Parts: sequence; structure tokens; C-alpha cells
Amino acid sequence: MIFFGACAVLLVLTSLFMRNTEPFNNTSVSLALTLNTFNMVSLLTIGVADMVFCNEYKNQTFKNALAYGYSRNAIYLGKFATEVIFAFGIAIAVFGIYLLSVFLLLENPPEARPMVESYFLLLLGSVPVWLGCLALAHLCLFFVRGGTAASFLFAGLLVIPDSVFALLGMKEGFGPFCTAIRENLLWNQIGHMTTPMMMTGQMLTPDQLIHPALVGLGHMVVLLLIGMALFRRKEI
Amino acid sequence: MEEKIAVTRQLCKRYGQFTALAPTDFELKKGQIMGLVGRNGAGKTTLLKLLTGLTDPTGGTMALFSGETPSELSRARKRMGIIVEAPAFYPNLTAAQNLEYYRLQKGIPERSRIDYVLTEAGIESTGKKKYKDFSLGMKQRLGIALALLSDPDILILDEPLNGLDPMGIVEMRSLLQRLNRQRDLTILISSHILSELSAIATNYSFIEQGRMVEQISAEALHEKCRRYVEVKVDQPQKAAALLERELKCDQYEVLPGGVLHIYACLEQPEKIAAALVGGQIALSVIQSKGADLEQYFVDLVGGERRA
Repeated sequence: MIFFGACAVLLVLTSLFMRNTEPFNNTSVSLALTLNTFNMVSLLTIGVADMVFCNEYKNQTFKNALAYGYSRNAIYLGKFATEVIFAFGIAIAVFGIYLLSVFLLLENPPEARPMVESYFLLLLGSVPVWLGCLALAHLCLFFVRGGTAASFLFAGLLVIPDSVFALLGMKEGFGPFCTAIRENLLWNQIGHMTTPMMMTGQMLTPDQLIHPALVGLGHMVVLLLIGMALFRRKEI
Repeated sequence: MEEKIAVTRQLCKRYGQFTALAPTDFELKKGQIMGLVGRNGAGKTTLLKLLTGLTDPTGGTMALFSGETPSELSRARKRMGIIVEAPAFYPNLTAAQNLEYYRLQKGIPERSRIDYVLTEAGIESTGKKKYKDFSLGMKQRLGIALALLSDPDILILDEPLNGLDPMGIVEMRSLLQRLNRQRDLTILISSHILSELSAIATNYSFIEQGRMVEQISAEALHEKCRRYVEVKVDQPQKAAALLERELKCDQYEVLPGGVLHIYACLEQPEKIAAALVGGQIALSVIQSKGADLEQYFVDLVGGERRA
């Protein structure tokens, strides 16, 4: 929690710094500078999941809930629901504080409006992707007995497949297949939304949120089902 | 008829080629204090894990409070308080905070229940001390407190006396007996030290190398362990009359083959010998016999008693 609090403070300090820095002291510039952080948030979902998971394996506390008669599915989904609530709370707090500082401390000219609208659409479009990342983090924590190992597994599963399929795609005959896979990897969804904004200044439209939403929610459902199946067979 | 709290039929657990628990028939009746006795690695904890749902059986069936389906077993387990293996809590929380977490998880409305179980378990004064700083005995006591939190109908305790000092053992035994007597609480308690259980158990189950070798009541066990003087004579009926007349002894058994088991004069077998020889009865064997509980267990499972 201290880490997320520090993130919020840093973002406010950014706004304070930019406040007296012409010509960067407007909302459009500040929002554009933080577009890169959206993928970082995907990685931070393991931190949220770990906070809620609470070292259950290390403390051997799962047996207390299981022996009381709670089903493994209920435990698995209950923990995930708690993580989602936590994640929403933290995101609202951090982004809320940041956006408040931006709108209160920086200038908000009419030409910044498209960026502001795109930013809010990006937030909306990122939520299903972050839910998918949270489900992956959740699975890694339940599958691997150790927070550190689970974190590395999570980061590896999230980030590495894109590079692997990018390499494979260079082989003759694999190109279209690998491109299709990469289009539907969790790690690439936010990039699909932010890259045009950063490279060409093209603003987001609502229809561009559909594909990331489907990928994110699809990953979430599949990963939850896989996780429940694995946890059902795990010796406690 | 006594209500059967737990019944297993051919319940077994295998890990690959290794049989942790062979097909086992086991019964636990309401109001019993059942001592589950076995060496380290005998299968005690495996049986307890199966009963508490921490692991799934490889074969066989199990019924808890007459329920056999997964949902019935799940409901039945809410009537159980358990310690399996070591007690497990969150290290950076205090005793009260840990119990508060589990009170909320179990949906227990009364907050006062926490103070009650802490007092019952004898750790009401730990204050702000975190669980990671508890001694082993304190951890065990907190485990007992958690087991009592939901006001269970049955306690399943896996070696709960581990780590307790002698006073703590006495207090714990006293607590369990009181709960059994006052609230008719059924208790299944495992140990590899028979003497720990002998003061409280009403029934025993002996387990060895994954097999249930005997289930016996405390009375029958003590009867089997009863000490006696064994004599072998040529005239058993005359010997019996002589014992009653000369030694005023009526606690004896006449067995086939001229054997008598005499349950009196245990500290003075020479009196018995003198009486029999003086009565012109040929005495071929006289020896003191009878096992203590540990020796009974050792003889049951095979093996040498050490010291």
C-alpha cells in the first residue's frame, strides 16, 4: 500500500513540477506523458494479488478455510473477487488523485479536450485487460508455492510470449499465424490503444475498445477456469 | 443408539505407489474422546486430513454426521473444530486479530466469542504480541482457541499437546475433559505418545504403517493391560480353594492347562508360592505379567521398546 501511495504522490509532484514549466503546463501534455504507465499497471497487478493472497502457502493457512468446509472453487473465486475490489480501489485512488492534480494544477485549454476524452476511453479500455492480468497473477500465486517465484512466472508469462511469437513469425509460413496470436496477447492490448496516440496523435474511439475488452475478459475467464482446475488437485 | 459422528468404509489414500492409508473402517461416536495412536508416519495425519477435507481419498467412502455427498460433507465440516499438523496463522497479526479474521470468515456474529475462546485456551493476555513472536506452546493454545471459535460439535486435534510444558498439558487435558463432560463435545485426538492420552481417552484406535490395527475402548484396553501373577499347577481347582481359604483372595481366573491368573498379592508372589506349596500342590510356573499401555502398543505393532 505504501508503494501505491508513493505512486500517487509522485504523480502529484509531476503535476506540481509541470505547473510552472512552459509550454508543458497543460493537461494534454501531462496525460500524454503517462500513457506509458498503463502497461506498467499490468505488471503491478501481481502486487495487488500478492497483497490479498497473503502468503497463504508460506503461512499454511489455506487448511483453516478448507477444513471449515469452504470449497476450493469458493476460496479461489473469493480471493479473486477480493483482488478485483482491491485493484479497483487502488486504481480509483491513484488515478483519481493524479487526474485531480492535473485538472487543478495545470491549464486545460480547449485543444486538450480530445486527449482528455481519449485518456478516459483508454482507462475504460484498459480495465478488462488489467482484469485479465489480475487473473494471470492470481493463477501464478495459487499454482506456485512462493510469492517471488510466482512474480517471476507471472512476468514471464505476460511479457515473453510476444517476443517468442515475434521471432517465430520471422520464419517462413509462420508469419500470419504468429501475427494473429500476437494480436490477441494480453500484453499487447494496451499498446494497440496507446501506440497510435503517442506516434501519430490519433485519438481513441469507442469502437477501438472492443477488441481489448474481449481479449482481456476472455483471458480472465479462461485463466480462472484453469486456475480452479489446478487448485482442485493441489495437496494442501 | 449412540449417534455416529464419523464413519469411514474402506477409506484409503495412496500417493503413487506409496500407501499412506490402507483401506480403513473407522467409527467415531458422539461423546467419545477417541485417541488415535501411532508412530510418526503411521498415517494418523493422513486420516485426519481425509476427514477434514484437506486431501481427497483415493478410495472408499466417508460420512460425517450421516452426510456423504460433497455438499453434506462441506456442511458437516462447519460443525468441526480442527488442528491438523501445526496451527497456522498470519505471523504479523496478534492472537485477537487472527481470530477476528477467522470469525469474519466463518460468519460468527458474536465478537465476544474471541475473548471467550482466548480465555478457555489460556492465552487471554497476549495483548499486542504478534503471532510470529509466540512460543510453541502459545501457538498450540491459539490453535485450540481457533478450533473452539465456531462452537463445534466435534474437535479434531492432531498432536495438540506438542510443545506444551507439563502444566500446559495438564491444563489442556482438563479443558478437553471439561468440554466433553459439560458440552458432550466429541473429540478425536492424535498422538504418538500413549501416556498423553491415557488420562482422557475413552476409546483408542491404533494405526501402524497406514493400517488400522485395533479399535478398542479404554476399559477393554485397561483390562488387557491389567497386571497379574500367572501360576501353573497340577491341581487348579484345589489351588483355587487354597487361595480363597489361605490368602482370602477371590480375584483370580482358572484357565485351561492348569493355569491360574491371580489379580491380588501382586507385590508378594512369594506368599502365593508358599501357600500353594504348603498345600501340597505342584507348582511348575510362577511369574508376574501384564503390560503398561506403551508396552501394549509396542506388542501390538511389533518392535522393541526402547528404555
